Amino acid sequence: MTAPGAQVLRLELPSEPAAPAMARRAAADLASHLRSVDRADLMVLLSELIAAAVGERRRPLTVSIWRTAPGFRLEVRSASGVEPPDDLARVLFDRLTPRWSASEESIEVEFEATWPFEGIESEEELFLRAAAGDARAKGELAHRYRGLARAISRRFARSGLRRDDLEQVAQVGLVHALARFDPERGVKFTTFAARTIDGELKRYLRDSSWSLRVPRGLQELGLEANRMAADLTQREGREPSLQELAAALDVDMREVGQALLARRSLDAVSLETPVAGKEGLRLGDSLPSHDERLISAPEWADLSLVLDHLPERERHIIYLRFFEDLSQSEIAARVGVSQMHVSRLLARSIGALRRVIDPELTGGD
Amino acid sequence: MADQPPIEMSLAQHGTWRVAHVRGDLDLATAPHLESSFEEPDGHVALDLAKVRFIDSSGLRALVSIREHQARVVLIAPSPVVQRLLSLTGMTDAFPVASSLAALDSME
Repeated sequence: MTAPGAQVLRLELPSEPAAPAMARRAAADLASHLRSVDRADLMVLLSELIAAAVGERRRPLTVSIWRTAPGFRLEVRSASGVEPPDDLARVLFDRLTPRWSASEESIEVEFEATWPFEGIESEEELFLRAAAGDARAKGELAHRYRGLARAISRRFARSGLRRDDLEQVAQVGLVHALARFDPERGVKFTTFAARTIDGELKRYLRDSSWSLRVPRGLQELGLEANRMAADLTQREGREPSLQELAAALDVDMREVGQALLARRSLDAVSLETPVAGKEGLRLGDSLPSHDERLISAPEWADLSLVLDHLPERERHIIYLRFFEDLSQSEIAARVGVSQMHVSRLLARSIGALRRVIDPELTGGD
Repeated sequence: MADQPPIEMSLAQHGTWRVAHVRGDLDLATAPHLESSFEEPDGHVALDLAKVRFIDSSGLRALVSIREHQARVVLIAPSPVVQRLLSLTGMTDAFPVASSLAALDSME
């Protein structure tokens, strides 16, 4: 949390259901200079914080509000403890604040407000104006939907990229969405914007040197595992199982899988480019072509955790395809099925894995 | 503070619809009132939210709970704060919306 500004309100309230309304009344003056959407958001935050500290037989709670440069910092504290925010409250905190935190005795949020735009509040009108090129309307909408961009950028938190960079990229995506959105098409802006922002982030992920951020330990283990696998193959005349490999390296099986997959991920950027030394083979070959989603590094790193979901044969095929860089035909020969069948099995396995990694994909839109 | 609940509710029947006209704030203190107005399940319920000045997650939970227990729930002309909260929580499509009481008639 940033350094507090001037405290503008401190209030002790009884721990009862009416407390949120009391706090809203007390804070009404503070918010009176805000535009109505900001005022409403601020009041929602205040209510959520207080609701977390209200309960039977609890001691009074203390509400503090500080003025900060971009808005307010709100804190609710109770000696009887506060409830951790539930899913709905979390969504609201994530969408409405750049930072919030909860401890056993308090919850605090930072609220940024006051993009100065007077007058129009109806969203339909704003979109129409924005589509007609009104820069102020676009700015207003960018402000109102900044939380959406932030929320989407957080889905990429595991990429290892800096959070504020991701957020910046997401905001750029939002601006692009605003520039291209046509309200007369009847598509919801949130749907359209979410897709644009997501695309912007994915492109950024692809373009960044994110693969270098695979933790060093994992990289080294990956290298070692590869070498060991080659040795064992030579010695035994067949490829080692993940289990045998783990035993030989004296590390956890899961760890080896993760290391190998993370190693594989170093090439994930090249899903669309030929794999070195394998003419005509592209890493992305087996990905269903109608799906533009690439498998990103963090997803690959997660794969080891979900490979267990696959039947033995499919797992083996995935292994051959992505660890051994075999082409589909080579795999077909090795496993004794047709290349078409390998292709189908791969597509199905990857689809299944993706759904495990990202359940949202099953929902479709 | 002389606290009367910051909500006014009136119930009415409109064709097959049970209608609640809500005026004021839907929060921790008042949401239970709304929820308990529809204890009988499996009905057709229309919630007139045009005059709702404030709603937080407690209010939203009440709407969701009513929807879970009723056969059909429609929001009538939800006010900007209601629309805002639905949008923030990704629930814009979770409830059908009618622009007015009269528009209910065209919904079966």
